[in-house]
Amino acid sequence: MTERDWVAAGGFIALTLLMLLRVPVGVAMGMVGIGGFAAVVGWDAALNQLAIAPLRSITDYNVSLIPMFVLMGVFATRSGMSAELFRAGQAWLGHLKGGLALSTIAACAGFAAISGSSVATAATMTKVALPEMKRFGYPDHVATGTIAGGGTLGILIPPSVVLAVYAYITEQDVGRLFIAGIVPGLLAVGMYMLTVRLAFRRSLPAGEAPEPGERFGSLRDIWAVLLLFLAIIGGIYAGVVTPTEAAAAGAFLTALIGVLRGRLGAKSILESLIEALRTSVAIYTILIGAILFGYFLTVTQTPQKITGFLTALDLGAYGTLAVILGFFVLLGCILDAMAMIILLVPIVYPVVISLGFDPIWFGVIVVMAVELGLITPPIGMNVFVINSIARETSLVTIFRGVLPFVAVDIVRLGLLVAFPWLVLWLPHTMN
Amino acid sequence: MKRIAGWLDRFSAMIEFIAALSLALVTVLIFASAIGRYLFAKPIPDAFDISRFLLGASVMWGFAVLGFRGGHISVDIVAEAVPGRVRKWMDVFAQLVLLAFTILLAWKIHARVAGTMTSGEATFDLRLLVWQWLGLIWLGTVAAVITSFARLLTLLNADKAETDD
Repeated sequence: MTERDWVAAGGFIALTLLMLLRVPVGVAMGMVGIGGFAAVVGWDAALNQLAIAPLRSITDYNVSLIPMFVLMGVFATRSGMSAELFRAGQAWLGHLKGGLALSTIAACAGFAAISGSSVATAATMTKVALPEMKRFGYPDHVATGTIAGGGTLGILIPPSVVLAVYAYITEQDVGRLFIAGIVPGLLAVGMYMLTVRLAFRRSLPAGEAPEPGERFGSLRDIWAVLLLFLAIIGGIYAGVVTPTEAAAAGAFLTALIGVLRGRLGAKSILESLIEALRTSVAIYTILIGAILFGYFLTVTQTPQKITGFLTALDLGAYGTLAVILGFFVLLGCILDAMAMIILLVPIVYPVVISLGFDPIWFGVIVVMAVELGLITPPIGMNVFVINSIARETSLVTIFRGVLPFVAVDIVRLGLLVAFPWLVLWLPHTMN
Repeated sequence: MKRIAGWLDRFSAMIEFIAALSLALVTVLIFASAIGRYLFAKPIPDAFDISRFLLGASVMWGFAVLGFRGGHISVDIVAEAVPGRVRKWMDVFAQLVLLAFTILLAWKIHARVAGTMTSGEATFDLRLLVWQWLGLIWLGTVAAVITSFARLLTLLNADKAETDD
């Protein structure tokens, strides 16, 4: 091992220790990045990175779509749009056996189309759908497992904050990434609904027929969601607006609709802004840390060495990909989705590209692997979020309900690896 | 100590209010500029630069708030498994690292502001001086040093405050 290899190894050990000691992930990455860079190049050059990298990321116009989409999701949550989506799902699917669980999946998909966060989707649907499912006699594991699984759609169906971050760190077109998430997202909806019907068939209560006129009446309530999704994703797809403009329009229009419908007042708008600001600052902090850590990776030539190491294993392209994705799923059990993408993608991205995989396709695949981490024991962020709201349902019960969704996610991941065109054909039709 | 904590809490709330309003302003500015360009072929002058600098300031002032109130993404798996006293010292250590990082950030960004001031760099349309915007961002880092230090003191005095109560 060369001296640089020892520095790289020391850097990774220091990073792990700092993170385990509860140092904010971005700050840990930043400090290790500066220290490691200094060990190889010198302190002056290392500290000068601090004058450039943070300012570059916080004043990057293209990154501003992240706080805008976060803001849009917060406005949508506070406007009660999730309840309307659930009611519409109930009106159209409620008559089927397990109709409320199917409605929950549909509402999660609808809410994911206006919110880029899985945790937000799981949290809001727990408040809306869980009491209804309990009222109609759904077993706890079915109700909570369905919400946890459905909640993961938030990270994949555009707009997705995690996909936007992936686009930034790999310098890919965020519009294409968003559009690439649509088919896998719809596939997930279909497969999750099948999972509900097959895995829980013995414990699903019978459905209830809707009142006359309820179906079309429910569509009137979700016009705002449809309008926002069409304006944002349609605008990006057609190339009419840039993703940043689409994000700003989405946040502005969601607030405007909320105000016009009497759902948002001055106080709730201010609270939404503060909530979005806090979330965005947390994301920006790890983005800054990632850039500083990236310089360290570059001077120690870590990505090249990992590429060399994985290639030498002679596992073939798909074998190597399986190792990488397995690592993501494993780490997803202890790391936040955003932190994981920002920490690991710069390391494995060169490997994946050197193996000949498409960067847009890999973006969707890696987000799906991260998504799996949101519901995989022992941590599973979505499961914890649900448990924090539904205190009476134990973690074990929720994990029991989630397992069929984990299995079907692995199958879906395999499908999209085997048939990459499922991800890529829609972005290829863009202007 | 309680009085200082109360004062810092109000200070953080005020910073957060201003940063949140800046975020709203950036959103409206980007949206309005897009409307102006697509519908009237007349974008708002310097909307690009103003929005990115304003967002930068909003993020850095928000960083100051998180320095005091917490909320950064961190790994809690060990912290949740150890006794309260150990957790307290873990938090103190984490806050110390955050403070060190923030001090370095404030120091180096100040150097960048000074450099931009000397060069007289200005925005494209309205010729607004860039150093003034960067200065606004730098003030956010100074606020972050204060709030992170204050939070460190609060953590160190947590036991004492409980005993006083």
